[in-house]
Amino acid sequence: MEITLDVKPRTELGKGPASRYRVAGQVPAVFYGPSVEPVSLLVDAKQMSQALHTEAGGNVLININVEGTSRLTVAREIQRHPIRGTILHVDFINVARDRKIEAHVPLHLIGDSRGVHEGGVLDQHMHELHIEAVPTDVPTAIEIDISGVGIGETLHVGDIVVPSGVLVLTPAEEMVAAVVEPRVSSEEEISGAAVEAPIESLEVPGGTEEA
Amino acid sequence: MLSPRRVKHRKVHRGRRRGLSKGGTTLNFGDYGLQALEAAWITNRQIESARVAITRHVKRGGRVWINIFPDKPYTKKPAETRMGSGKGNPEGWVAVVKPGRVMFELTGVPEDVAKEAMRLAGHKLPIKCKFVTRESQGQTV
Repeated sequence: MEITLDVKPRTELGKGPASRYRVAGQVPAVFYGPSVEPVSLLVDAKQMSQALHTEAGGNVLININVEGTSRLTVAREIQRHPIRGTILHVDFINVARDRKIEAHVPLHLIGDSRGVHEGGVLDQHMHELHIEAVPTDVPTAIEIDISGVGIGETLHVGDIVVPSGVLVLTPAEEMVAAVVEPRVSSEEEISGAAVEAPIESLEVPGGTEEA
Repeated sequence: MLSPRRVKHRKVHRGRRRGLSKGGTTLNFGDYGLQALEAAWITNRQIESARVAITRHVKRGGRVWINIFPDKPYTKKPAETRMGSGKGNPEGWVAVVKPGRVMFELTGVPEDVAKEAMRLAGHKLPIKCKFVTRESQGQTV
């Protein structure tokens, strides 16, 4: 998926101006890539947020107009405010249509697991897959059928069938999901009856410390 | 209850709690989380109490992660003691939490159950908290 974003060159650099831009509803950004000079940019915060909320997610191809020329980019290193979640800064990386890029693609588990029907709990360990492909071949998501997974069985990266043109970089032996026996909490665990070690009994390396 | 097995120093300075959390602000293990909106010292008793609240509400299934650890000792002078004569005695353990920190994570339960469990856990803590999901944090879902 490809979209076009309006960007402006940014002349004032540093945290003071960047903060003022954010208050004014703009996001500081930078454009760079192999054999291109880095350019500091400004993007409209609303447009940037909308661009990242398409079905392609963070792997959307973005056309930006830098100094009169249209450049194909992907957004990387998206910095967000830890509480508000607003975008603080974005890196636009120049990509070529015929050159492979690395991307993290969401993993979607589809189907009802046999193990879950038997009373097990589905535990998803991995939420995205590290892949390499040309920009237009990067899938929006990779689906894995879990209907055949029973209790005590696991799915590994090697079990995933990826579309042609996509190379998986995540090690094949890494676990994606497992169906495990439901953990029934013991009475002690629920009530929190575990006893705390007294502070005086704590070991201090090198003997006692002067208070 | 959570506490360090061994420490280098029995008493430490109180420090400052300025700014936002430097890391641990996103969900790493579970699908739902409880995020701190204020800075505080969270004691090991409060952490334990919140954990019990989550475990009780979830009943079975579900998996809980605690992302904070009370590794800082706090001291207190005995009652009716005049000021001076050195620092007080170690009284307990706290985790230093700053705004943005995802303190608890949960998976394996429906969203409404997770939300209620986190609400109950939040009431055991001395700070305002927010329920977060992978979607609300702009992460891949």
